[in-house]
Amino acid sequence: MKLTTIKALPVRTAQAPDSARDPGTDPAVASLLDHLAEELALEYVRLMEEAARHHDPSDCEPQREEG
Amino acid sequence: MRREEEYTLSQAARLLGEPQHRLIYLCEKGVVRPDLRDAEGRGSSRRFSGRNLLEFAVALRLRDLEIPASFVGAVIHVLRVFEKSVRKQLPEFHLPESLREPRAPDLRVVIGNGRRLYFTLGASGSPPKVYGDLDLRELDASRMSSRALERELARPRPAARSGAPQEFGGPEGSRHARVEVSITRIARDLRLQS
Repeated sequence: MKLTTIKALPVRTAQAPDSARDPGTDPAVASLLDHLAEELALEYVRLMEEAARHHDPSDCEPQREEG
Repeated sequence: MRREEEYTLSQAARLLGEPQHRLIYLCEKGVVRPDLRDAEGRGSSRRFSGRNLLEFAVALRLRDLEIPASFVGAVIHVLRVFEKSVRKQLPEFHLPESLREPRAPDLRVVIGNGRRLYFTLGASGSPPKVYGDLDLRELDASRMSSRALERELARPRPAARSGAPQEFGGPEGSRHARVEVSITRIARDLRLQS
């Protein structure tokens, strides 16, 4: 029995659409995303300051002994 | 003084456990821009920062979920501007190190109902706030004119809201489907040079 070799073709997989605007080249999109990032940054700083207040050892009162 | 780590493509690929071609693809698509040196023709090689490693790791997780590279690029863009904005007030803030700290809030990216981009941010033990609500399809060049995009920019956005527990959908309120990636957890799990 003669074996023949069939050259495998590359498998094509479905590609997700990739036509959205590039924030690196589209100033309008970049502006929209920048605004979002700045809002996130404000909240991040607020949360870190809040966490620092809760964990500041100088805020802790010394434990009182019972009795 | 903080020392900037430097990674070659092969080091970055090894630390991320990914083949080099996936990282090259993200560079060529402009999703990740090498912080320390970009490729400039034959014989030159890219050099990446620790932040670039985080960007790769986040981008790869989103690409695993079939999120288009341009949308992933939007997420990475937000991450870079976020870092710069935080550093204006907290000069010691650096990605990925600052997100690896135990008290760092949990920053996540959410894609709701297949098309809306959100970020959530919250401290552990408290409900996160939701930011964004951008329609990724409306940012598609083939579907939206510049004028329409200007309208989108001018549209008043709801203030960040705290997420209430829901039957489905997370704090942003997706009705049918959602993809959620924790940037903070990726940063914590990232392997960096010691």
